[in-house]
Amino acid sequence: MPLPDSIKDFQQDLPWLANNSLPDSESSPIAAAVADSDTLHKELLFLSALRTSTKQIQPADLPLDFAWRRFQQQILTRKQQQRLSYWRFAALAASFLLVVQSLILFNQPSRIEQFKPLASATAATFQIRFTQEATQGQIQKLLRKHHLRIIDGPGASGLYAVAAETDDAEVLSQLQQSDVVDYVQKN
Amino acid sequence: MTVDDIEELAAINAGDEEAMQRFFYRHATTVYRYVLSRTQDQTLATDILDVVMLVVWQQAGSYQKKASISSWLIGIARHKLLDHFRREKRHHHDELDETSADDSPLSDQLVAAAQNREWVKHCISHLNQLQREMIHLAFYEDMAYPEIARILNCPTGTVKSRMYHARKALRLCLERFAGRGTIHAIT
Repeated sequence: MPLPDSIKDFQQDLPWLANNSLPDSESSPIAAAVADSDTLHKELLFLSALRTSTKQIQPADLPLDFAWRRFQQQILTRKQQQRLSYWRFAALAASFLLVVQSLILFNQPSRIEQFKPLASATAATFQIRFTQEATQGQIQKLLRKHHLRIIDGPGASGLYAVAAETDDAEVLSQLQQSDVVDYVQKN
Repeated sequence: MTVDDIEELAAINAGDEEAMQRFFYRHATTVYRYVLSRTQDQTLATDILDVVMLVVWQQAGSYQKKASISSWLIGIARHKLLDHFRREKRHHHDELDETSADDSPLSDQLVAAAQNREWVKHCISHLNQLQREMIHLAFYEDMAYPEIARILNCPTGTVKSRMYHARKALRLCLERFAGRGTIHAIT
């Protein structure tokens, strides 16, 4: 004979009454129904017996020491893999940086033409001898006026080597006309 | 969940292998027995245990205190097991057919049959995987139905319904024993 629906509703909750996991608010009405119904009472006995038997059935024991050693091996393997992947990543990153650096270097426009020597540029040099009357001040004034600087001398014959910043034909002409210049020749 | 568990998970998160060992010894059996209850395969149970503990080792920080440690571990184990089944595309058809189970009130003989460990063990082993899982979680782990619903990721109504069907299948199986009084009668 099938069970009435009201009993079936309680029946679905009985396993949790049997394992004592229901909160009081839920267990009280079910416990009351069990007390009133022989069918539910037997059902609860059946489920409680099943629960006890289930707990007594010992599934194959896990050999914990062996299982731990086995797992430890897994940790070790994982650590080695992580180390290896770290070095792989580091090597990849280093290679990548090298490539990027090379690309940057190769793609930069050459700026050698833009460099200027710290000393003044030399566009032309002259051999020059000053008159015996020329004073130090007159000579320096002349050199400054034409942006000249002494790079060598005086030699045994009184010749200086001077450098000009510009290769201007005017400079030679003006030097030749100067009162303090005895001799001048462009190299 | 104990203070030990929380402290140990924090230590595990920081890479403390000794804390991992203590945690392993305390919880490995729970995971192992859960998987065994579903698969009845000791090798697979050990493999899944390793995978679950590896998750703990690598993601101990992901544990949320909402669930008990057992629920958390069993939840991970269940996911890994489902992944395994998906890979293997394996389906179990060794289940008891409970469609013809009688819904009438239980006899005293049946209550007595549920107290017989060997008979119960035999009948549980012939349940389908989902039913074995229900019996294990409800009667071995004594979990409340909302907790089981969280692990199985299903509504609480589904949990109650699955448990109801598991109970019916067990009843059918035990009725055969109760009627014949020997395990050989139905194997």
